[in-house]
Amino acid sequence: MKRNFISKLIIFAFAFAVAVAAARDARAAATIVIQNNDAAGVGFNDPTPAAPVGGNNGTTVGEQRRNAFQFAANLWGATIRSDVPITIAASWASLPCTSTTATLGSAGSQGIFRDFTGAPVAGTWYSAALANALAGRDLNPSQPEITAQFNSNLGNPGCLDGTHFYLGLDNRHGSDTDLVTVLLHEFAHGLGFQSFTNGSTGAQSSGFPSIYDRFLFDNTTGKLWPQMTNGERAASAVNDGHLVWNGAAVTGDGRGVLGSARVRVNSPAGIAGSYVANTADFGPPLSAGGTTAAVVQALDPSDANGAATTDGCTALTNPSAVSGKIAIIDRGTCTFVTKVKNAQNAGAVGVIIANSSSGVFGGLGGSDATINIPAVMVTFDNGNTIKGQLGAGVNATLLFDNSVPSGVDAQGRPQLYAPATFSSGSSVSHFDTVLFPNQLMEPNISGDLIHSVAVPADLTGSELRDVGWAFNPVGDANFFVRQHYLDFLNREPDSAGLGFWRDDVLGCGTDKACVDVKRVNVSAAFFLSIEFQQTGNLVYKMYKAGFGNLAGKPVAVQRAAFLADTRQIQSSPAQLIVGQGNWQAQLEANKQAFALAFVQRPAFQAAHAGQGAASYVDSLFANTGVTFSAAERQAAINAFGAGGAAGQAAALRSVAESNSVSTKTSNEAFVLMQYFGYLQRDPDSGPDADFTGYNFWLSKLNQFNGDYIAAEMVKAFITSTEYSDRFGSRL
Amino acid sequence: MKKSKRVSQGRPAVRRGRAFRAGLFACALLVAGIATAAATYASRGAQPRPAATAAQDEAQRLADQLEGNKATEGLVQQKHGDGTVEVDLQGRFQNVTMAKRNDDGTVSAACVDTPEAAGDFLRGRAQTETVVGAGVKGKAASRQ
Repeated sequence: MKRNFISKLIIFAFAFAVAVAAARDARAAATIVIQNNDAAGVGFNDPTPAAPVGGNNGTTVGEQRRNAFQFAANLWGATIRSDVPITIAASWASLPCTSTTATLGSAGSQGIFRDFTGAPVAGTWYSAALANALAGRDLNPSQPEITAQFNSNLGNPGCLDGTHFYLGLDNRHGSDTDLVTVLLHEFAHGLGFQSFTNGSTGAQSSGFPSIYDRFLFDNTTGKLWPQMTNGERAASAVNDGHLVWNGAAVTGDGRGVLGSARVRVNSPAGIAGSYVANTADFGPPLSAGGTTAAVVQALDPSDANGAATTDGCTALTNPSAVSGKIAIIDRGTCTFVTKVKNAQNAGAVGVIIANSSSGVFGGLGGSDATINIPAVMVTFDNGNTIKGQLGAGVNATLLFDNSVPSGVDAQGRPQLYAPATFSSGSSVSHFDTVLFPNQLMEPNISGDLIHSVAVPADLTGSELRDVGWAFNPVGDANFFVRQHYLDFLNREPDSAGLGFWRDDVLGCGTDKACVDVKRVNVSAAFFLSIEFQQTGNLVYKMYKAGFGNLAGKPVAVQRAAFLADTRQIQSSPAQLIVGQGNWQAQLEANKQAFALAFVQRPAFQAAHAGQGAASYVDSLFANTGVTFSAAERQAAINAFGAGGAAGQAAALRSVAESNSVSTKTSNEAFVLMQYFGYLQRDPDSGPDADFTGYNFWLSKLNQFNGDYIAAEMVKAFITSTEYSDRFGSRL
Repeated sequence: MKKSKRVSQGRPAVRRGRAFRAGLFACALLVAGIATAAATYASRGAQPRPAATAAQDEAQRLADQLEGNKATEGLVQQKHGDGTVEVDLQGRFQNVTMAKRNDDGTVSAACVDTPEAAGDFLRGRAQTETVVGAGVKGKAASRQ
């Protein structure tokens, strides 16, 4: 009885510890308050009825504006830490505009502070929000930290006629301006992505540099801005291509964010190599893994749409040759969209546009939401090189190549915007426009930004880390989802999957309770997905059937072995991506290959060599500890067939994939993957000396019949400090 | 504390901001009316301005709202009892997003903080522009 009490006490203590760990909500790291400064009936209080749009369920224009502001504020608030609420004094007004131009809005820090208690660097200006966060108190409670004002007339006659702010929260802004993206950009300035030095004169505010300035490095002079004279700073502000960000976080993270579009020719050897490419405004973005296929010349009739038979301006005449291949098409006569759509209709998986001799080598402009294959342009000369070898068979990959980052200097430091074309007054408070992919803090706010402020999409959060913010990307939906691909599926996400799950979280809008639920469900979906259940979970069950639990432990495999084997079954003989191509056949091929290799390992043979069909199958079921059906036993014996490695592999799969084993091991595998996936460790390692924690969660999950939501298991792990500590500052 | 701050301090800040912008706008109108736009532009040491058009004048007027945005003159350092030094930026150092319709009907946007940068953007001399709206990944993209 006493022992039972102590046991309960231990469990209670553990549960309490978990609860405490979970109590610090990684998604409420900073509270950003939108202070409505508008008068009744206007701006945020505009009572004009509005239909819900893109997840913004406000019923008036004013409410939708408030929702968009709060949504953007929450995206930032989920990734930075401040114990002091950040107030953004915001309003709408009739800002200057014409029928073709407009001031969309503005934002900035209300004030700056230096030499406060807790200031990391003396004699240095910090924006108000950052200063408060570092000081741990509100240094001027009578003032907001950031001010913002936006144009209430945008889209009306006389004010960029017809182009409105898109007030939806889902980024599907079409030809309108996405307000959330603009707000994310402007709020970042207010949070500290900004110099307070006059770039025209080089004069520092009251003679002191801002913390931002301390990371501005001119690689021509070899000086940081605080080391320069006013004249040197003014010159540096227009030293195009040579003013770079000298912060460790940005430089380090930049390697995983920045890259270049490339056509990598894999064969023939004579022209193999990486070719510069420009991307398209339409279709999916290039992925790191790329699209690989044979390259085929697309052919179309010489007709009124285009005299050339290689311009792709009409439905292709060689669809059977193009299907499943990368089509190469000459530039000219018709739009890029037309060419790519014709190739897509013929079954092409990608398109290379070969530039014409006279055409400017740029991006492929245009818009067509129905295009779902990637397209790039190569130079005239490179196009000829590729076309000249088509007879020999060209195989190529269209990819985003991280190994060739754009817009960085030799040390990997990203360039800042310092265009020499501006004789004075150019802003240094942006990344350069040459960075690829587009970054939130480039001066040109691009339409393809994805409401992400963190890696691997964006370096803005990294910059905030450099200037002193406690920043953790795990609060960023894009980062969060991508990390699950890495932790559970051991691959980079496909763009469609990433977008789907990211949008599922972002679809909650300003409803934080909804965000909490969605994050849990999205997270659990990765364990429950076909791709993981049929690979990682199958590996676990094969260990369970093959060997039973590890000696003295309630689980069948340690993480190191599990991880290696899961990577193997997911990627060999070819990478599995459920939903792409003939993934079912690929999955079966991978499972067969892995099972065959698994049973031939010495450890497996030591346990099962020489067993006949019945004894072999019985020993596998015995290892799992399940009560199996006669039909399941017979199915495994039948699969064993004539025996040998092939028979052992088939029978092992039959047992491991049986309903009885799957049901029996479901909860234990689910709990184990919390440790393997989220915490990247074994349950009895790190802060845990034994399986007390594992047993607690298994008991709880069993208690709730596998309902991870009711058991609050996934929630506890993804909001734990141990999980968030993997990625950044404790929030 | 924050709550009272929002209620009691919000309005003055807004009035100050509006007055500042209104003043700038009035100044811009005054400048446009009295002096030639070309002279105004040349006085900032920028590139020679092409023949002024009505649209360019309008663009210049938008750009002029940023005059003095990064000036530090008149900003006062306040020293707190604990050694903290504060400067109220008085609405300066604002980052302003501007937009314009391009010849092909697309819309470009850029964040600027000086009248020169704003003018260059609005008159189409910025080096690279990216379209807001139709989902642009490339830069300086053409349609065919």
